[in-house]
Amino acid sequence: MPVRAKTRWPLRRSARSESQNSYQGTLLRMPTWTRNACGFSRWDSYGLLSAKLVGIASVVLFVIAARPAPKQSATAIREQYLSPIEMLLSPDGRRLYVVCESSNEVRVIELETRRLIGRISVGRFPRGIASSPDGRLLYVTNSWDDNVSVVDATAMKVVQTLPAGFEPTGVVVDRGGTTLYVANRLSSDISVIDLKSGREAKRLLAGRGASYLAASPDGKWIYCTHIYPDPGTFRTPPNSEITVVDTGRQIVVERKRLRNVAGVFHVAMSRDGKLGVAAQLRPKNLIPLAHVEHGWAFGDSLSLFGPDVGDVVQIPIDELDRYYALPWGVAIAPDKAKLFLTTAGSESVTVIDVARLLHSVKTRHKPFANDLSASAAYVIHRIPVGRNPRGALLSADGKQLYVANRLDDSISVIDTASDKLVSTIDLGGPKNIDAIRRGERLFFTADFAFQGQFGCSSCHIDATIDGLQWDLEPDGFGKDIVDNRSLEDLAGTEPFKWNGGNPDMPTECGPRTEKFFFRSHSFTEQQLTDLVTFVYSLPYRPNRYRLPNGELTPAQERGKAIFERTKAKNGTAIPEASRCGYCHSGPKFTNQHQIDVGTGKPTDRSPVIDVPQLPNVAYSAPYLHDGSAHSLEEIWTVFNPNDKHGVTNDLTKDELNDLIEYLKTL
Amino acid sequence: MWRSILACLLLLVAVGIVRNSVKASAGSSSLVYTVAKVYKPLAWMHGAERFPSGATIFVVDASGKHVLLPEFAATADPAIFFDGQHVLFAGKRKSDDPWQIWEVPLSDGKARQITSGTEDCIRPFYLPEDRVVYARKINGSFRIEAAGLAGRDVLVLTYGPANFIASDILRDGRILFEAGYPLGSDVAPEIYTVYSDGSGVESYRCDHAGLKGAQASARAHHAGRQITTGDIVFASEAGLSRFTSARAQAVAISAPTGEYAGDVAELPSGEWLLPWRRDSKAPLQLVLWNARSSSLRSLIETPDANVIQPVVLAAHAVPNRHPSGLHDWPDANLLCLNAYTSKYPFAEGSIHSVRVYARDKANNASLLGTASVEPDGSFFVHVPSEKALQIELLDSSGKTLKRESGFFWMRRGEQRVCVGCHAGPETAPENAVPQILLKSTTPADMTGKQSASGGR
Repeated sequence: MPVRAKTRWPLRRSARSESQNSYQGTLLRMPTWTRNACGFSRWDSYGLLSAKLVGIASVVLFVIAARPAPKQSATAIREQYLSPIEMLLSPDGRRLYVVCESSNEVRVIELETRRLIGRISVGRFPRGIASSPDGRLLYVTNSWDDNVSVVDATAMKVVQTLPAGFEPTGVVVDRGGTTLYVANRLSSDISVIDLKSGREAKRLLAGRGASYLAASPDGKWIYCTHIYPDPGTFRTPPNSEITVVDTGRQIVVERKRLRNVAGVFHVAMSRDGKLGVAAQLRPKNLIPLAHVEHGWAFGDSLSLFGPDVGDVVQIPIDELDRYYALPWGVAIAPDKAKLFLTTAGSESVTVIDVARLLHSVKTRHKPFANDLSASAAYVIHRIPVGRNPRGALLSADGKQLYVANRLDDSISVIDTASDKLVSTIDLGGPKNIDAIRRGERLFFTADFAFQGQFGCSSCHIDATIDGLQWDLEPDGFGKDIVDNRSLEDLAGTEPFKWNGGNPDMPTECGPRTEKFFFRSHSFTEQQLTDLVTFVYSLPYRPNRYRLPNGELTPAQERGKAIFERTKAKNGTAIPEASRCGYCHSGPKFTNQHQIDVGTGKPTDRSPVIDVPQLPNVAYSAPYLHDGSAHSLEEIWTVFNPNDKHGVTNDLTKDELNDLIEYLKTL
Repeated sequence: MWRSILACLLLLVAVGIVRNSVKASAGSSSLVYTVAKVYKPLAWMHGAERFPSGATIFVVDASGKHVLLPEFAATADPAIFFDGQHVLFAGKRKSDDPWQIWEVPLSDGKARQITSGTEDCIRPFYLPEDRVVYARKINGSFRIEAAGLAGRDVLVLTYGPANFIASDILRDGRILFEAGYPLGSDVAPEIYTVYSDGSGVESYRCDHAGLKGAQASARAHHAGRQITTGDIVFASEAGLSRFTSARAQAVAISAPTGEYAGDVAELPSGEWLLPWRRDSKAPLQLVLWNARSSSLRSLIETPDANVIQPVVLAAHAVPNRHPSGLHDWPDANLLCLNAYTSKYPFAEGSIHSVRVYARDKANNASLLGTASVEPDGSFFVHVPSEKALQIELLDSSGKTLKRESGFFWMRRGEQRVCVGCHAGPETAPENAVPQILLKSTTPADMTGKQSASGGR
């Protein structure tokens, strides 16, 4: 059943059908070029007269088409896609439970018949699933509701809801079935939930962006990975961690440091407990992004840990001329012969021979994470699957691998003996692919960057941020370092880029991206329209700091008063332009202007910075245009010595805390 | 789908009809190829003639075998447009004309001249967006140029005292070309890549380090073509070899013995069409080879001439267009992240400074300047563009630790970063802010100008 949604259409051109857009795209090209039936552009050297006529007509039409069209809203039919992201098998192996992120449900597939036998409605944006040891209960994390649905697997109904932290994602149950562990992405911690009482017994501090969990086979340890790097010193390599929880004592006992690693995704343990594997990104954000070849933007890789390898070892999965972007789901064969890895941006599964991998690790005495030729020693197959493959799940006997194709609403089934795709299970999503979904596919694929090295979602992980600061080439090497900005509800926050240099999203995502990011032939006019439509469709995530009744806490009230104050504490008037609400005004808390607030650095070409929007500012640390402020507080205590970024130096620590409490509610 | 239909139709009426010279079927495919009595495949390395006795392009299609353009005195180097309907080639109307680049639609056979001049233009290929790339002889040496199909908007892509010739356009948009290794030598050809704006020149692989003298001269990688898998297949000292995406070294192909001339053409069936001969005394003939087979099947041979340069007449994918990111600056910036990252061993802390030289047409080097190298091995220099440049690393006493044996160039407005000094394309950069950029974001000027431009 299609859902009717109102979509803002921020493009300068009015909303139009795909064919109309394509037509306009052709007209806007050089008028002496034509496009033949095969789609190959050729210069018509034999038809000068017709070319001239086309040229004249095109110029006229160009003038008409290039007139700025007013911003307008367009009502679009939004299909209800499924977006399968994680899976679980019933203990008897007959049922496949598929977590569908977009349709807020778990779909149940009977594997023998490949038939859909159930749809279980859960909370908003479900992201993880686990089951009780006997398989009778399923636990599904609802990332936008901050809770866990407990599902009776037989009745296929939610029977209980358990509390969790902000944006619960990964979930595991201990061997006794008494305790649930939930990784909370936004609160960066792990909820320990007592299943008997249904209460959260304790909260364990994890790293930033805690997201995925795996238990050791003996159940003694829980391993947690994180999609954002831990906060670190400005312009130093990012680090992440694998947080290790002792399930006996329910405490964090180790933080395995992952050096020069940012996003880390699924983690898996071998059945013998001797090999742990985490899929990860090694970003190259500290060097100028002058080109893409030679793994210049990202190293798609794995971290190995456990007795088989000793200390953490990072291994690359890319090749010299081809990249396997966004390694995500990991599964290790029961006999540990093979390791399967989904690459979400490259729409494939990489198969690794574990014996060869361990041989490489043991015989190479120096780190080789940057050796693009290393993977030849252990990667044995690359299997094409559907779009944006995420979760990878092996059958109990290890003979079949299931892969959740998030943007195809399907499950790929791979025979692990031959490493061949043997079938695809259609989960029954809409067959019509609307503009937002087309744009989403473009956003998540790595097809467009040179040699497929990365895509939009490599930096905007799950369409958010990466917590990194990048040195982009056109500004000059080492200059104009830029923090990755949030993409939530961008309409009305133009212009883009930290200096406000890109007036609209097509400029931001079009030629600029093609030339200075992807460094390869990029989006067509239609694709760019779809991509922008998708980006503009990204909503705000739920704000966790507002009270349900809409009122403010006393601290938030005090912070609001500071935000809106017109006088300093000594009674002097604060000039209008120095008041918080002057620049941070309007529905998005930005006046969409560019201003020097004294936060420029010697390496910035100009101190004039675009005023950023503030909603959900709590989620997007670090702060300032270059990410030099670790926290909101540092914006004023470190980077505002002359009260140029609002008058804040007369505020006490407590008052700054109040201001922060208020900002978090925006 | 339409390609399959076309292929089936051709299969019904095609090959096998090409009189006695065609001994096997190329399946459903129509072909073009060159026949030359004398073929000197590497003569271009010295700016010399590859076809001293002329050459002729033949077509094998549904109507049989015929000369592509009988009115031409010589034709060679065929390349097919992406729609499969046009042939780009080097041709001479009259025998004493220089080679020039021409294009002919298969529909009407009316050839159109693209390049002009008094010296040869050879070995053309189609680029995306109706541009072509070819080698033009200037003062006795071949350089690679790109131009529009009308021959205008010529852009020089290669610079320096050497001969360059394109051999394919890669699907990622880069131009695969050949030149001596090291650049500037004429001993043995090696395979390089450059973007279609002339930036980013580098050797395709760096598995030649340490080769000297006889070893170096025995190694000849040439006539490389990219096949469907993405591999680059080329003629080598081993016969046929390939570069794969996964490996840093060339991999020998265990094909039947004999001499191969590279220029592999891949048939829809997966079979390869190859110029081959039993030994150097025999002329090259076109053979078919299936990788699973231990034998070759002769397809086209001519008793007293070489049959070479096979190309399948079919529509094929348009390579990616390279969106040039060159800036509007006269010079260029080069940043090295860590000179210690190298196939050559340098003791920690031994590299003190870097010299940059320019080499003139006579291959004489002149010093452009010296810059310091930071403890982490990083340096940042502002260099003249479109000149042959050479790097030399020095220790604290000014003694040369290593000097680049060849050269490289940078395009006008190019900004480039190297992982190290001869690190090899298999080495991805380490993620760390190079110390030189923490010291200054202004590059050391090697242009002799007071104020360097670009990104400063």
